[in-house]
Amino acid sequence: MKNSENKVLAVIDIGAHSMRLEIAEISPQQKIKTLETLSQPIPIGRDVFTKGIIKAENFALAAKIMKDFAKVMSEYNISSYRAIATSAVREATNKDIFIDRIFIESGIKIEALDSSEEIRLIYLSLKNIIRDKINNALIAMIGTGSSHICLYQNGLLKKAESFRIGTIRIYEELGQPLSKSTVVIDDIVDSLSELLLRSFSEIPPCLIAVGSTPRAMLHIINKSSNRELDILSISDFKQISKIAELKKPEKIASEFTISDLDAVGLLPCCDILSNLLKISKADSIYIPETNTREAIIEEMLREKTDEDPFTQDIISCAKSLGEKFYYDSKHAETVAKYALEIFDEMKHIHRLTEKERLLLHIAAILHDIGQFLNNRQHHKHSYYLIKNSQIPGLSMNDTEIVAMIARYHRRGLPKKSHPEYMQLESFERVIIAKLAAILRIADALDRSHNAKFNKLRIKVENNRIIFSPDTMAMEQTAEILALKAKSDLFAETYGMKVEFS
Amino acid sequence: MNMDFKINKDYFINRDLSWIDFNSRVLEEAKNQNLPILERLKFIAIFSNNLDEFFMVRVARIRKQLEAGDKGTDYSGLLVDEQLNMIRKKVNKLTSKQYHLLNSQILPELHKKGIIVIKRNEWDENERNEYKKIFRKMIFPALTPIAVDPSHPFPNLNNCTIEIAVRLRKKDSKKFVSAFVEVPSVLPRFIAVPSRRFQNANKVYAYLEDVIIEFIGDLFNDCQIDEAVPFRIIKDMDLTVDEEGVADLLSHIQKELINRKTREAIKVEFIRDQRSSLEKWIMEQLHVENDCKFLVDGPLHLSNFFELISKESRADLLEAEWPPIPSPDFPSNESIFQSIKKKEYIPLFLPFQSFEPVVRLIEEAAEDPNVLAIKQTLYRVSGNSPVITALQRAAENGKQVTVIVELKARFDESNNIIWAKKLEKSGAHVIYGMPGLKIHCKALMIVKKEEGSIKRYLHLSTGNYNDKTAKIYTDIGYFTADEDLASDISALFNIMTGYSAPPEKWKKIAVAPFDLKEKFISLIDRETRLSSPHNPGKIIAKMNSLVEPEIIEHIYKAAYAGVEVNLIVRGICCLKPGINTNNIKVISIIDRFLEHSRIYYFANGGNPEYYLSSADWMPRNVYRRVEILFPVEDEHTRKILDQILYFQLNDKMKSRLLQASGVYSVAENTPAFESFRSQKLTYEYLKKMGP
Repeated sequence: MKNSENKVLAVIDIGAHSMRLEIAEISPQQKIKTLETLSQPIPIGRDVFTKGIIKAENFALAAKIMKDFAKVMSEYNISSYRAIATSAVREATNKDIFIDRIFIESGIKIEALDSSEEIRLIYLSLKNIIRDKINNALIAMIGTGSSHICLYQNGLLKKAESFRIGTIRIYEELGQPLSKSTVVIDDIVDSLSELLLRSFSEIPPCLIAVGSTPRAMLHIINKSSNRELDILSISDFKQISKIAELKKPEKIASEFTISDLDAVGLLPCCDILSNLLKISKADSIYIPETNTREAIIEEMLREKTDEDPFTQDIISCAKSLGEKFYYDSKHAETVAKYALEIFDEMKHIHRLTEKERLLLHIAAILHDIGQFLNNRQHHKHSYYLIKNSQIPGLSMNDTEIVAMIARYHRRGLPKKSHPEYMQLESFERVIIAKLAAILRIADALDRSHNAKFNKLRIKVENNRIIFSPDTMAMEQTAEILALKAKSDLFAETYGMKVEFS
Repeated sequence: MNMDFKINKDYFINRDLSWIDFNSRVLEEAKNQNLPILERLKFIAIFSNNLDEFFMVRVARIRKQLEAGDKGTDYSGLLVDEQLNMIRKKVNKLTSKQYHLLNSQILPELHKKGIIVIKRNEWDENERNEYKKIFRKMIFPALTPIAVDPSHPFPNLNNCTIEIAVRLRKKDSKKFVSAFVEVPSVLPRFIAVPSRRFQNANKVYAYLEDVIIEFIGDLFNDCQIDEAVPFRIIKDMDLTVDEEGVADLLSHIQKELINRKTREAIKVEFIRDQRSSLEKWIMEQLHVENDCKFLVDGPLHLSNFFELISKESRADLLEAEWPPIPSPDFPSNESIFQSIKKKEYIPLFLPFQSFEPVVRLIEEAAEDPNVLAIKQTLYRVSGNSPVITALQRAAENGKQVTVIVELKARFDESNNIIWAKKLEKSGAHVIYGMPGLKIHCKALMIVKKEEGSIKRYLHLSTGNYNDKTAKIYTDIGYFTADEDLASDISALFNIMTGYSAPPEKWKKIAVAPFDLKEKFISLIDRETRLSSPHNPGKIIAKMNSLVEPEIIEHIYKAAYAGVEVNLIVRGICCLKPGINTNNIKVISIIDRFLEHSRIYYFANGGNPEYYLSSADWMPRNVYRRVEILFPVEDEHTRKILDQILYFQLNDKMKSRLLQASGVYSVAENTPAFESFRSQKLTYEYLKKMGP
């Protein structure tokens, strides 16, 4: 494709209760113009949230919808697309068969996103709006199938908790008529705020609500503007909650011309938000007009060499995970700094991308958190803790890789007898070896946890790497000894000797 | 002014009686002495054609209501049986007026001009011999007599066809037998033979049924013909497809069409001076009440006179043609895409301007390698439509062609199925309507790659993609590549193809059955709100029919708030004007072209808005059909619309005013008012613009 030409892309988004297709045209200046937006309701959420699987009839319906979408895509000659599935498909036990069937029937390949990847996408589309406007907030991403509550501090994402609580799911799991559900919903939602209070040590007095149902609230009080960011006052919110309690969803949908899904989900949404208002002590709710499909498109357009806009947020989240386990932040940062310096100097040798650089960065920050459990075997504890934490923006696969890198930051090298290691694809094992090798050296260079070197001053030659660091410290013995002991994986992986001068 | 008024029956005119008034206005044109005689005959035929459709659908439906025991009233307060009675009375009165006109003015006048139709009893020997030859050679083989006796039950008679009831007996028997002979509709109704007895003509015409009756004995050997009398039945053709749970609309409609043959009779016509002894028996066998019997004073099935008009299309007996003007906005040396791109918005006024740019657009799209996809709605399409041919080409050339075919277009169903199959064969994606909704909007979208980016060209219209009706219906087409409209129309196609649920918001258009009625009402209410004594609001709405009661209520509210409301309603108008206000003016225009465009104008406090639509203000348009209302935003088109509306509102020749009594004024059809004839003025105005 010539550079002067526009690109036409498609993004398909498979939610718990609908499937949507957006076709967009992107100018060489990266301006996005939406050409078509299609949506079809499909109750896969109901299947999954009650039975754990997607039912056969919805297999067929989903396949039909995707075939139709493929037809519209073919009308624009589209070859570049992403089809993304969230909560419902992600949780379905027959997810793989479902994805395969859709592929066979429509030719469209669906990716099931993890919660942390979903958070990342929603957050990225939000960030474009709140950047320079809001620096600290509690962010509630409210979906029909699941919700994520995030802590946003100093302009960066800090923590995120995902809940299997969705505006529609809440009813489906109860399997009860709406009128009787109110009390139960209150109970479910209350449990959420307790967890948040424990998990988020300090909660800023600012609340942002993201999602289609929060947007619909603006319609109800006729405050929807064309602005990207609207503000709902407490009194307006109370009025909406009252409407949600008193009126039937059918009535709400027709009276305020909002979608049926939003009308049904209004009450749980109000419940969630009223709890969050309580714990955050915010005096209003910001409601942005986010578009995750746009974030996906931006991602599709990003070249491999560009920096991921989410990088700083992931690092911020990694650090707050470190804090949770009382890590030595100074050591973590020093090791990360050294590791990245080595990584950058060796680019032409390891040929890894920005993405792996980030994985290394996170592994460096978190490599010692296992000490929280016990210093003995702490690399194994680090592995376990990282693997079972949710770091927004990291897929489960990426998290596994980070955990592995941390696991191999000391002691034994990767072996065929390590089942977790052998389960991975061979290219992933290579990445782990390459990055763990660097991390071991970086860790060695801060053996005394004193951050002795400002710059490592690395020289890479044919078969050796030489460190001649710039330092004020007289005593470097601990580092030199450690370097000798921990350069084993490096030598094995890169075939290079490590020298210090 | 009373703002909290409650609407009641006094504000309404019954829709079917209003329809009959419309047909009566059609008949008035046949009476118009200033029109050339074949034009007058045309209106006689149109009147009959209209009336047949009215019985097949409307009267059939009201009868069903009666049979179902409906005790309710319509908005004007009439009970179902009252409606039927009044319809019958009015129809009888008008029909006798029609036959009186035909017999006393039009046929004699035609005779004078050398177009001579003579009845069987007026033939001379010479002519009789000629007819005998023709009967034996051409007519006899096409006839199928059906006898009725204990072993042959009463036959299934065809809708709208002339039948001959025959009473006869074997020569050696005393017992009478009945039989039917259908007058084949495949044969010409007017049979010409050479004749020398008239100075101004060298041939005469006879009615086909007369020829058959004269020689009917040939069909029944060894029989004595006691009587042979023509009659005609009209059947209930109201195709109410119960689509809930119909998986395959196509095969369902095909079945329905077959079933139609056995539909109930709604109207039986006999000729007053050719009564048959079999009448009572026929009525009994058809299971119809006596009030379904109608007597006429001359030949049956007058819409067949179209055939005579086309056979004798003599320029001296017809109005001068108004040949379609090539649109100045589409130079012939420039591609249609190019023209649209240059001018952004281009209107097309049919039939004053030529339909050709629409066909050219599709033809160009079919051959253009940069065109990716074509989507179009098709409702009523003529037999050998160039539109269909171009779409076929496009599909064969590998374009993604999607055609949404409405199978439920009244009386055109079987026609629609034929070409839909043809399109499918060529590789087009054909979608047969939507269950429960009739697709009535007219939209064409072409997706094209231009200089590396996607451009979507549109043609939206108030009328069908039919090259035949494009010559007689006044419709307005609108060509543009406006991005907001394109995005709306894309979404609309995705709904019609079943690919997507409707969007939460439309950018520029309103769509039935989703938000069209609300949009109309909100536009009317906005005028009400903005109207002040110094600056009264203004609405001009031009449509075919006005029935929707909620809209009528809001129109009255607007009028009471001081809004000046001008309604140009060709057909049914259920709004009765003049109740405590003079702000509502209703006119109807009947002229050589059928008024068909829907134009809606709202003054909007000095920032006027113009809309075109496929929809009338009728419940069926806003509830049971897919219709669109789209804005006209360019000055050029608005200026022309202003002119057309001005011409229409000031028409003194072909327009009638609906009075507070519910009666239409009679038009001043004198040539003195030719300079106020809106269709003529529109034609001349557009002609002056170019090319």
